[in-house]
Amino acid sequence: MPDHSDFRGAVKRPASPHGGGWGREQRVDPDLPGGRPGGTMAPAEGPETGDGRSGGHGAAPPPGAGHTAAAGGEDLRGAPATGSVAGGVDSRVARPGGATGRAPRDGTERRTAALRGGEAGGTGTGLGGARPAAGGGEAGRRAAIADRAERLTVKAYASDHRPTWCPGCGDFGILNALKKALVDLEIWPHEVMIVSGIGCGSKLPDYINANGFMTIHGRPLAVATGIKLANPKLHVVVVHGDGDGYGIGGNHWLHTMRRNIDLTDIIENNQIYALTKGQYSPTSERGFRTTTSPAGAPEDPVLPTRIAFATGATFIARAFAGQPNQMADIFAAAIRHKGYALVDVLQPCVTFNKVNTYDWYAERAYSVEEEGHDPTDPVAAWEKCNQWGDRIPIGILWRNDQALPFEERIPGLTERPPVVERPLDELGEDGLERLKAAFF
Amino acid sequence: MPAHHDQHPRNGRAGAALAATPEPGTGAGPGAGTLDLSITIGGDAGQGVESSGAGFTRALARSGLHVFSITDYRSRIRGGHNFYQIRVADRPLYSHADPVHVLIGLTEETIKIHLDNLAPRAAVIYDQEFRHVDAEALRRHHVRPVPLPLAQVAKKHGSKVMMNTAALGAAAGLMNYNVEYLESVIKENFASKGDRVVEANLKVVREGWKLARDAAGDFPYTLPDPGGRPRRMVLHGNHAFALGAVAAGCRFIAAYPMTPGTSLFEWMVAHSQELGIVAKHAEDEIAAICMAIGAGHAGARAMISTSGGGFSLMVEALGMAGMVEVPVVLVVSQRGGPSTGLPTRTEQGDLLFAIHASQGEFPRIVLAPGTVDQCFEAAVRAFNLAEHYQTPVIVLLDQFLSTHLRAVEPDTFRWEDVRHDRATTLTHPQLDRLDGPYLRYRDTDDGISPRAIPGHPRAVYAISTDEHDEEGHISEEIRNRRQQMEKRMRKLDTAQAEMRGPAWYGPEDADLTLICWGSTYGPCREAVDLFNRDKGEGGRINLLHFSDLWPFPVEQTLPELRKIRRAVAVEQNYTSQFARLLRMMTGFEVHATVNKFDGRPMSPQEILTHVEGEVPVRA
Repeated sequence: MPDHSDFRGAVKRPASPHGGGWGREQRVDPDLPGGRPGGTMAPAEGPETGDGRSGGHGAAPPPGAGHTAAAGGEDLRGAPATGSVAGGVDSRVARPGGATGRAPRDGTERRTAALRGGEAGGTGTGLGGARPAAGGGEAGRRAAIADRAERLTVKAYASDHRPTWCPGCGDFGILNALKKALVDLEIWPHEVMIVSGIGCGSKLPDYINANGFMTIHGRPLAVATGIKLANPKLHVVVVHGDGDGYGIGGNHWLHTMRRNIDLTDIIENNQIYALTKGQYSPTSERGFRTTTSPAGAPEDPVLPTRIAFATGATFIARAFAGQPNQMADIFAAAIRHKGYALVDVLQPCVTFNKVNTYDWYAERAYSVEEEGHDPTDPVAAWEKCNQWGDRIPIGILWRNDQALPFEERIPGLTERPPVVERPLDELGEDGLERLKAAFF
Repeated sequence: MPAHHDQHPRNGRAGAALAATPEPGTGAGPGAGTLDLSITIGGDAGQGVESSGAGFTRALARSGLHVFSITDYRSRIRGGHNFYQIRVADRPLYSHADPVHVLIGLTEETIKIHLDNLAPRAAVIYDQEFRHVDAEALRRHHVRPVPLPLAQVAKKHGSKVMMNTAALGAAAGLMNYNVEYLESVIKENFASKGDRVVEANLKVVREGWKLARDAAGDFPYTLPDPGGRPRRMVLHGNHAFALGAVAAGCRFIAAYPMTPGTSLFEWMVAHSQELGIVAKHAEDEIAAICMAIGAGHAGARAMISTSGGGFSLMVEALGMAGMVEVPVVLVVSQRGGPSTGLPTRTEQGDLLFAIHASQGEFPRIVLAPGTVDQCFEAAVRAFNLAEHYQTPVIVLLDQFLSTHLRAVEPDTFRWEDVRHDRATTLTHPQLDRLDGPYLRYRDTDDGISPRAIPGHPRAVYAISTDEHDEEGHISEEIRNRRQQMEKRMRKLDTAQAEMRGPAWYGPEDADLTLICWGSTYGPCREAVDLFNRDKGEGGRINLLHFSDLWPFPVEQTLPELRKIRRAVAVEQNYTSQFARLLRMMTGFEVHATVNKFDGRPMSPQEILTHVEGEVPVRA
């Protein structure tokens, strides 16, 4: 069985002179991953508990979101008549009842046959699609998840691949919080697509059992946009770093925000390029010394929340990797938001950034919720989005639930099934002749 | 194999000479004895040259005549000389041709520029108010001046803007062409502007027709109304490709406007709601290709449309598609490079770039259809190949193919010929039966791993642009790297077997073979006909055309190369990129090359000017 504690034994807890962290009155649920009273560290040390929902943590998904998740699940699972992604695509290949149909090329049958053999210990009952019993190791566990024979817990998202992050890295907390948010929202692993770029944190999809796409540096938002438009039933979550999102991917970031496509954009902001071993990033403070800024960074840093507000983002939040529970709540709210949602995560890099440490953030971070901030008030939101320095606001800074997501602004896009579900031969002879007629 | 010959006996230097317009021909073009005429409309940008030309082309095709039109314009919206050249004949056409028989000069400059490309007894239609037209000079060229009150007619029924309509009517009148065909096109083109505009234009076209008819006298170049012939589609390569794409099930296109790829994207956008296509104008080309790759991964048949500059920006993502094995189709309509180059003009300068673009090695497929007709099938094939081999497919068009209008037989694009190959994409019932872990990159004999569309609970997986293992997890292990690299590259071997070898045109027993690829097929084909008809006593030439460029169909090509006595590569570039590719892949050396890189498409006459000396004379 895989180890569900992705970073067991790998964590050293940095000493905090403040002990109690910044959120004295924060809710603590000891059953939740990483949840320890007063903890400012992200990573949990114990195994994730499967059913940590006892605290009723986080608001229940609103009817719309819940419905979407459930409906998406059914449709994705799909009977051939309604939801088959490929099954309804080509009647010459896929026939009802599962026959492979005419295979135009040698080899197709062989590959198909190979798929039928339960080659990795699954105890499935063969071709009928019956539910295999769980317990046959990794495959059995996955089969059980696939058939949703178990209740959804963070176990469903557990990967057998251990993160390669440094002990104490803020990315552990982000990974855990994301899993917890997805479980809280009752989103199953096959219903989500986690898209990342390049960088330490962008390896996250490798460490979670969910659909994932680790793309190239700076481009995950564009790739995610294509995925979402092709299949709006998928919950698309983008996870990448400050260099990836605010630097090389800056143009995509600006346009994705004003586009308001329904994506969750988690930016692991450690104010440094870590995977290339310590160069200054778009969010590095002026004067920050690195190998590429030996005399101190000459530019003023990007304040992402300010740009996001100015560009028209409809959901702007900041989380702190040292506070995984609150971060999970913020992630859940961001995923629920219909439209683009930015979560700028303060993510300490314990190896290369000796300035912006857990303690540095903990001294400055405060919860806007506890101050009674109204995130729907644009004037107050603008103030919070501009705040940085001695006090750093954490929480949902701005939300506009009235803006239409991009998908609903395009005529015809939401009125039909996702393009990936419609048969390739939908045009038909009459359709082709109709299009040709315009050229006579 | 032919003996080695100087690679570039005519290269470059000869190409420069090709920029010059050939001497006026003698007679009515290559098809003397049969109908074969050319008409040029010239004027300033903003005078409606292109819309007039396209409308006239359509009107000519409606009577059953064959047409072939090229557009020549500059990268600006107002001012500067533009022209539109229409060739009309009673047999299928594959190229434009020189010289021209009727010139419509909407500006005086037009007449000066095109004077040297007029056939003897040609006519020049222009506004009688033009003050600097030297009618005597025209007559010295054996050209007939036809000054008419075009602007006056236009103003009488509306405004001077309709002068081009009056000129089209005049051209039809001069050539004794049934004005009803022009009227039918005008009714359709202006329908959206209301009855008054339609009526005004109809009055203008009729009056222009009558004025010219009365003045025509014994003008020799007339257009009969064949009547009763089947109507043909009139379209360019971009639209033919778009039709093929939607027939193939393409449901996603993302693009950033770039001439000459834009019209393909615009057609898809215009039909997106009707057909349920996602057509996204992206913030830049990098976003466009990444969106298409995202959509392709999600299971849509997805494409982009661009030109070389945009493709340059897409190169890193191209490698991503190759690495993560996501199908995507890239239409790259080449234009004159490098850099901004000649934005509205043609070139075949991106062949080797397309084959090699992006770091590292991965399988890709590169196609280059030769004609408008072939663009439809190339589109269907591109999507099937991309999905079957789970890899990017690049289709190289160029400005010439993307913009020239050609009459196409209606049954050329048939639904019954459209196949949808999803043999390597797993169906839902197949995934329902999957008991073990799903291996996205399963090592197989042909290198193709059955692909699950994300969203099925039994096939939850992550993919990575890092080297990865069969499951998709990042792995740098030696054994794994070798396995996955060999698996991916094996797809190229598998695909190579189904690539098409070159196609012959012309007599088998030829003394000289023109070798070309992509859109130069048409002009080369006409050059072959022209040469063999006119030079029957001498040697003969034929044509070997390549449309499948990568993986290069080596085995399919070698037997054909053995039939060649003397080879001349005809390319619209400076460095004979295809000749280099051919040598790299087969060891075959062409004997000579013809290169044109001035951005203007080749005419058959130009090709012959530079090939004739290469043809051995038969005893």
